[in-house]
Amino acid sequence: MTNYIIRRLIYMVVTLWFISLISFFLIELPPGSALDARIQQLRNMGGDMSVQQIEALRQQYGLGDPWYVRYWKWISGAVRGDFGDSFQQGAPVSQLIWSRLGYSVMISGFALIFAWLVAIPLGVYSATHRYTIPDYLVTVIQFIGISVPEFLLALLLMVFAARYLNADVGGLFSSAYQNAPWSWDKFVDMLKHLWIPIIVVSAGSTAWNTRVMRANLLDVLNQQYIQTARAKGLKESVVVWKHAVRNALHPLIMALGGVLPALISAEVTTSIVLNLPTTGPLFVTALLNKDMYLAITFLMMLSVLLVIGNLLADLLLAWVDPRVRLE
Amino acid sequence: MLAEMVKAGKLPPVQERLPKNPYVVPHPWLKEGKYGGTLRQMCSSADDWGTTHLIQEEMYGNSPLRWHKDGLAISGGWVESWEANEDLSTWTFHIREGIKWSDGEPFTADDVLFWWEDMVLNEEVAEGPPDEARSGKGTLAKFKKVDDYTFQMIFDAPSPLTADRMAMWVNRGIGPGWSAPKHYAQKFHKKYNPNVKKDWVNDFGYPGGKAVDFATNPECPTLTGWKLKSYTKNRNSVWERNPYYWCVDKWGNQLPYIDTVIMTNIQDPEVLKLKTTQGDADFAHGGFLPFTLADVSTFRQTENRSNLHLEFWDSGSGTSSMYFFNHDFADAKMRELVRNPKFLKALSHAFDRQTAQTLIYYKTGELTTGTLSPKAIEYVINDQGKQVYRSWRDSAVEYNPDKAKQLLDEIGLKDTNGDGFREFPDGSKLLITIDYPADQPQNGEHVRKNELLAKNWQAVGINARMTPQPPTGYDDRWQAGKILMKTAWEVGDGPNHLVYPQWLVPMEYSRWSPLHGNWYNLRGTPKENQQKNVDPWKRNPPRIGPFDKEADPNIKKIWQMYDQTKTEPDFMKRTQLVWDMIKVHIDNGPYFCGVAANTPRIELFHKDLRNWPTHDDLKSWGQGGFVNPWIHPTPAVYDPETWYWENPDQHTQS
Repeated sequence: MTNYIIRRLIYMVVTLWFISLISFFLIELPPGSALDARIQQLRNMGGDMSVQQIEALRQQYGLGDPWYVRYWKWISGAVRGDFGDSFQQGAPVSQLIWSRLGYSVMISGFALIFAWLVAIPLGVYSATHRYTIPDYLVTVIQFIGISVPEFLLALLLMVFAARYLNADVGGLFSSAYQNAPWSWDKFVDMLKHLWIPIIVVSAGSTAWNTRVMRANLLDVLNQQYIQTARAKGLKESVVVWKHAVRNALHPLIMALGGVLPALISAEVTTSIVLNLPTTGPLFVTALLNKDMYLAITFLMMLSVLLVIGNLLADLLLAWVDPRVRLE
Repeated sequence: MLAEMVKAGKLPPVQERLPKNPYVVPHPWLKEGKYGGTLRQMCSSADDWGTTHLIQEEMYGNSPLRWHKDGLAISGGWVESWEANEDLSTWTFHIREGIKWSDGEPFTADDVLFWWEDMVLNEEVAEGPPDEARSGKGTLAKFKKVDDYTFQMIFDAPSPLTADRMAMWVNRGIGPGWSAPKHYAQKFHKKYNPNVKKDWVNDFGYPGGKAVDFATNPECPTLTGWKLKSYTKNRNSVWERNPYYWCVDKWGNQLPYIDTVIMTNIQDPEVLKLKTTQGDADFAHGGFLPFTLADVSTFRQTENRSNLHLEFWDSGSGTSSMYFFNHDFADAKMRELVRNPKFLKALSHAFDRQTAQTLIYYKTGELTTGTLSPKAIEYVINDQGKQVYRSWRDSAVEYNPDKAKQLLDEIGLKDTNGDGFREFPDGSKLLITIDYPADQPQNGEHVRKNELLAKNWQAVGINARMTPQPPTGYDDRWQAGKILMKTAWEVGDGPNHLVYPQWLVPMEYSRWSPLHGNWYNLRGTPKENQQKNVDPWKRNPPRIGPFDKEADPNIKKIWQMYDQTKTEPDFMKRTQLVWDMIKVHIDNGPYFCGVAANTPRIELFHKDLRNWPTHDDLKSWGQGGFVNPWIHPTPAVYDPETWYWENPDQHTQS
């Protein structure tokens, strides 16, 4: 077991290194630099930058160096924990990401828990009551949930909430609480804003989880050992929950491997539409403006979490399913 | 709000907080107001721009001089009065005595000199000297402190435009600084505090410099009506009244009336509009926000829910959405074509501006070839000026495809191979790429105008194609002569052609003549005469000097006339030179083309808010509004510090 884990860790490091190289190169590929957006902004306000100033900034941020030089500068800092500065936001990258990480994890975490809490019972109910009206109803709703793009769902919910529920939409806090220190009222205010993001973010995965749960459970319920269990005289609920569901859960657990990176990127388009203070929008703007260090650090964070998540999912699967042998 | 602080002894009484002669806001539409309340606003930007800079455009407090009557006059700001000597080379400015920074410390000429000597002249700090501080010859002025409240700018040649140029911008962050809080900033400066950290110069940059940027650092003193109370990056900023603001209204009440201003950032523009219709804002300035005329019906329909009244202010735009060619395009054949006045006129006559005006601007504004703002003083000063404006405006505005075809035939662009499109005289393929940055919204004014351009030009036989370009690096490729057109801009500038002449005179690289502009910018530096043997497009930066064969003699004429205006003391003589420069544009251009001038901007005001000017107020006092140019800062010119709530208790944020 330990051998297996060590081997996986070594593979992880190699994979991550390749990812960082390729990503850095790809992000560098389009012409222009982060400086352009700043110059354009300044120019729109008429505060033109002199040629000397532009040169000085280029030197300072190393924007004129070839990509491997800049890569080396970044990686040598990154392994020490210094991820460089974001040119566009004018702050260290680690500070920018850290300040938003809490909200990202919270929203994604809640959405994940919500998705599982809804999906598993719904999937089990759907499977055990196949072809009944509630099953069809659930199926239709789930298909809509998978097909409707999340940002569209977000917009629809926002308009609905704004028009008919008179709710204050957009953002996690009302303007009164935005800058206030944490208090019970602020927490309640946040909960009032939280329900839209959680529904939207979990819509897709709830739907998927339910469908998979239902399909798998149907498969498992046809197995012979389930027949045996019923023949032994066990109660139906015990047969379903103690024996069948546990075996039907495996694909969901494997899917958990991909959940860790989703925890911090929290559905970018939804965050932009709902104006949430999460890391997703930061990432998108960094890519659009070629804000090098912010983009690459974020990408690496996602990659690290993905490979770790996959390892954990594999280990978890091995623990749940005794048939799995780790090679 | 402040009365309690005075009673508690935390604040001196108001007479001691105001200067000896406070600035009296003179606008004729003002009524006496009531104190109290909060003004909520929203903006939409991917980064801090909205929460820090847009709100600065509402406050004129840091500006030494102010524009008046939509650019027709200049009044004092924190400078009470000013005069110049005989030949206008030495300017003396008298600061209002007794002005205090927002922390109570006195504002004196020391703060101006600190800015000049320790920020601008200091080679490590990156604040470049403003062009206003350069004489006509290009040398920097000398600043001299005469006494605590008087300083002088001494130029080596007559500088007649100095006062006009100092009225531009809100300053300190947008535009040059002109002052900095010495008593606060000096502890961040190496000259006064040898123990500063290694990268101390970062504290002196905008945005974000702790020592000087009052829009991100609540402790940095300011002279504006509101000062920063708290600020969350990218989310919002909260501003509260500055107890030491040095302006009063006609009734002697210290401004501002409103206690708190909140600016919230909503990243997605459509969500911003949704929230606006839901009543989440009390004031929305169309000049900063992504509102177009297409949104008017939405705002009118939701008036009852949002409680926002819709008002139109003139934008003062000279062109609305414009297009222009790269006068210094790298390929010689194409360059010769786009420099040919007949070609430019032909394409302008082929463009159906009326349809564009109806579709995009709902028939507002007046059709124009493309000029600087019609509100500029050179056009309104007398009948001759009006005539000059009309002749430029009408020079190629007529929609006449037959005339266009005839002109194209005359140049030799004929369809030689029968594919329906014209080729170059030598038979090679001619493709006009209508370039624009790919991040332009598809239903925005620029892309829609480009669609019409492509259609109209194809109808006269020009193979024109809309070509989205990656937005980053657009300008780098523009000045390398690799991009043919810019089509996503507009000309807002006035109030005076000479204070911001970049459209008239090529002097930088982002407009219609980048390589000439770059050379002009380098005059007086060693680079001016370097790299003469290198191909102009391969120089660093790419530039064309008068010694190159690719130089355009018309541009040299414009430069000569412009240089003359810098030292010409007589206003009418300068205006005549501007008219002459315009004539070069009319005869050899049109170098840039637009659709309709002076289209309106949307302004939304809460029904309970008072003292903001209506369009009629502005028409009788000024010119009906002049929103677009940043150098004429709207709404700062209408002093939002005078606005008040009819019922302040209904508009407080707990």
